[in-house]
Amino acid sequence: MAKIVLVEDEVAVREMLTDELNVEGHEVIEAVNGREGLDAILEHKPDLVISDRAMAVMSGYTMLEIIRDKHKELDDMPFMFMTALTDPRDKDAVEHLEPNAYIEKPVDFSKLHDLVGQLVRR
Amino acid sequence: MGYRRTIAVGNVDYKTREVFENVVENTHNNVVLADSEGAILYASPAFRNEFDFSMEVGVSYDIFDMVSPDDVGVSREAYDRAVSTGEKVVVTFRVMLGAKDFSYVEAVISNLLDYDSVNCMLISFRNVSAYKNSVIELENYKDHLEELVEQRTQELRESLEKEKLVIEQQKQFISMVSHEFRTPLTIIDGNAQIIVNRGDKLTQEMLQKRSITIRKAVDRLVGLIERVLSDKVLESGDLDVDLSPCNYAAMVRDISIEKLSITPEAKIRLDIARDIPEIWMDEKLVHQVIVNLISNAFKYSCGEAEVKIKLHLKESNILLEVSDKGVGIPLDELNKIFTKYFRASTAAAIPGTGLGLNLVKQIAELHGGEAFIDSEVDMGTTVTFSLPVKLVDEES
Repeated sequence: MAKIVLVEDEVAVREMLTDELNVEGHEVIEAVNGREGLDAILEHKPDLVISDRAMAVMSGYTMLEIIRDKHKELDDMPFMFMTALTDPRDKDAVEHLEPNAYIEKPVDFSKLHDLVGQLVRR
Repeated sequence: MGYRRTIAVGNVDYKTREVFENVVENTHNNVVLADSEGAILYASPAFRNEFDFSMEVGVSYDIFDMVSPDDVGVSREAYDRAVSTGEKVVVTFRVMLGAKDFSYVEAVISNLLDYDSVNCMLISFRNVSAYKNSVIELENYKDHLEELVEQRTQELRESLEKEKLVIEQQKQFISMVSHEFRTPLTIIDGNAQIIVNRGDKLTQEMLQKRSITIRKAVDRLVGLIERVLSDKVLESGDLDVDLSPCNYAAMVRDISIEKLSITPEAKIRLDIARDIPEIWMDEKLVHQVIVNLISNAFKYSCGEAEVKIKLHLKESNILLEVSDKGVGIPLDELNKIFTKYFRASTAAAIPGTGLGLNLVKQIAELHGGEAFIDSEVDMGTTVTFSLPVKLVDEES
């Protein structure tokens, strides 16, 4: 149904989410860090980006920063952060980048599918 | 007595002159009378003594002769000012004593040129070397103090920077540990959800795969908890080494098998010497070391891990060597690798706490042993955990 770029460095988490999203009928393009994620987003222009926060090489934070800064044409692209950092200060740190949604780890799949549905509907 | 004739005391009655002579000759004050140019007309005995000055008949002396060359300008300017303005002028200058030594002298120059009975300049001298030297010493001490203060401030600044670094490290550590805990939980929970929601549609093979994934994540979590707890316990100094006789060879074998059951794609080659005796060690701690080293070897291998484990005796030590063919550690980082929280640059893409190797080293040292490392980037790493052999039949 939707083309999703999934940016996550943990292989087990990544394959699990890809599997789950595939079962719901979505196409998933995987990236292992922010750098690959950026390339994938620019190449595939997905309907939604789901990204981890802390990753080596380039974090999800930096990736979104670059997108908001240098790719205004992607302002409308929905962006979901997965976060294992539940410190509320952490959410504040990303607020200014205007991600569209957060989902906490461990990821509850029914919540995930709801959010995906909402964000992709526009 | 000849110089009595050179005193320009003018027209004065005998009595006054006598009074003057008696007073001045007997005073212990250093007094000099001079003309407006500075030529000495009279010098009191005290002055002659103090400055080792003797006057010969017929020779003219200049008061500036005794002044140190560097101070002649200042003293002459002061003298001329006294002469021209009629004001009392005080000036301090150095007087040479011999070739190198000098004294500080304070001169009070009074203009008595208009006094009919006197008609000369009166200079009264005071040796202020002691005072001057004190001032100089104080100045030096003040400079020294300022230097000391700067030094201490710098030391404090550096201390503060170190503290800030530690706090920052700890903050990062907490953040990373939180992440590290949640990741295996995410894997466990996610796979469990998949089994619950779609279990009936999964093949036996897929179910098995997912179960192994869950077990791996649990193992990872357990390792993490143990590392963090051990680290905290070691930090607080509460840890007591609990020695008991252990079958080291069996431990290494058992843990290797356990690890392989969770990571079936990896390979372990065991090279255990036949003569390994039972030795005294803290079983729980050494268990952790073996688990840590094998986990690391798996984790830092690229793709499917090929690990070699060697257990053998060397002189009076028993050596456990765990080798991988993984990412390796840069040479200039090897000396920091056992530092708490430190992670090699080659490990940046792989999650880790930076605690593992530090624990291995601490546990070795708690037993009176050592830990070593050898590594080459992209070739692999060998960690050696060495314990002194404490045989079970010996008294511990």
